[in-house]
Amino acid sequence: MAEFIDVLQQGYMQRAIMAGLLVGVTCPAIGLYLVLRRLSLIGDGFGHLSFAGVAAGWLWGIYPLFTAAAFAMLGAIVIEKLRTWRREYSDLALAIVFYSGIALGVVFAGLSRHLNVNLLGYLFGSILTVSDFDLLVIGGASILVLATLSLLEKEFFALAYDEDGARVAGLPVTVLNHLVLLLAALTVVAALRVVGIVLVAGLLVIPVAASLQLGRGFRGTRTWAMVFGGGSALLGLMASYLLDIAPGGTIILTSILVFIVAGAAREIAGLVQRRA
Amino acid sequence: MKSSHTALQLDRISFQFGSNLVLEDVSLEVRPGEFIVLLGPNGAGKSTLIRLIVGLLRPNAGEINLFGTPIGRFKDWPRIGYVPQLTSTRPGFPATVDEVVASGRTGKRGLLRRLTHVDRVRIDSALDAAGVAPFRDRLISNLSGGQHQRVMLARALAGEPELLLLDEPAAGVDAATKGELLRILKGLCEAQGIAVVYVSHDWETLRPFATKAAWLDRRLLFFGSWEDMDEGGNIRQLGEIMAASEHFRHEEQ
Repeated sequence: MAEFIDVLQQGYMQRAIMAGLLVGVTCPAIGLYLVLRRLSLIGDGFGHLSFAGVAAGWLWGIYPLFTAAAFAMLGAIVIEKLRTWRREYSDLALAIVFYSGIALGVVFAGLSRHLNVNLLGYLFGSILTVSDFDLLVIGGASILVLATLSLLEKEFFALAYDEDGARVAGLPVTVLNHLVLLLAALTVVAALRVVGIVLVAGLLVIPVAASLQLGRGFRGTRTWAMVFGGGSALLGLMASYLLDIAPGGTIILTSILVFIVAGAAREIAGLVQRRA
Repeated sequence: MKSSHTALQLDRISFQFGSNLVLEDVSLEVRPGEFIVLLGPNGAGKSTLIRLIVGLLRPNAGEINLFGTPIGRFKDWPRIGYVPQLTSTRPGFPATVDEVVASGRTGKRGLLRRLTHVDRVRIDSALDAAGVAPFRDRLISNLSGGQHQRVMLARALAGEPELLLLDEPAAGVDAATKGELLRILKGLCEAQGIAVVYVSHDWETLRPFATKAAWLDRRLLFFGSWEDMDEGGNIRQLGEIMAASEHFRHEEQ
């Protein structure tokens, strides 16, 4: 433990903690809207699109998170168009966009000869190698997402609860729908260095699933989801260091453990209530 | 024909889904304080008409005017309240009654603006008017169908609407709750001059509350007072059609 306290003084660990906390709190904050709109798996798709962006960054010599953000956000606009264009085939359209992303990523990575070098770091996260600039980008993206969610809290709630009702109330539903997906895409890009392309969707939805077990109102559910997300990132990082295992996977496994504990607590509370 | 004294004016509205003509040449006018019940058998186009009025669908022909303004140019949407069918609700959604009712102020307050003390007062009034204040902190997922629809009414009232459109709000709700909902609506019409358009199959329960009936079956077959309906012998015919429709609905279920 003394060794762990010692490592906390190290710059790389401080950056990892900051990045983990920022991403851990931001992912479920936007993830809640995705879960409530039954778009839980869309984060996976943004991960695929980001992969194409990261590989394009390697190929063109641009900072990979910037190109990842461009690809994911462009994908978000295309997805929203496809979702509203032919609703009956929307899942098929999403699948085509997502596989286009991963296929482009493989081709770009091959062309840039980075297929084996940096790939694992982006696929499964590399939180301990987060640089000062990475942290600045992650922090900027997280603050932008959280500030937008806070400013448009009542509009996003009305949209999530009843899209038709929001439209009748005169809200710009199309703009807000695009904005939710754009914020989700940006969040996924911010989380790439922490948990990686493959696992990023987990951090968007698993803390939300845990929070839903508590049976709170909207604000309570959102607050607990953010606490669970941030807590999972910190505990996961700590566990990965102490057990010498992969941090990205450990963070997601920690969030799953939190979900299981929350679910069990709900069952026990229900049993106690029925007996009382 | 346009009048600023009308809350709603439909002028020869037609609408079709693909090749299926759902509404044909429908014209009617609703004034402030009127309580209109929109009757008709299954598939008559009642819900479609409500969705056209609230701007969720666009007519193929005809003109809709809200408070004297063509719907395409109408911007004052908080003046319109909408209570959807119970089937369009969200089971398991993590929100309290208070949070859902407060969302009814969103359009009124405007984008990016926080709710103020005045909004809070209106939300409290809406909770009281719909009789849901005692369980304002409960999760909506824990409410009965009737309680949920009263919450949806409170959400609509929180926006201080002048025209309230309700799409079969009491379908599947017990008779006592339905009666309570209708008394609340009648009170709002009389006290605040809100115009109400209420879609229903149940014309007998609605009769003591509604000032006029509109009978729709793709075309508007009748629109006027209950007395006019009695005189023309329409009421007997309506009863037969509605009974047949109810029978058909039960058979389907």
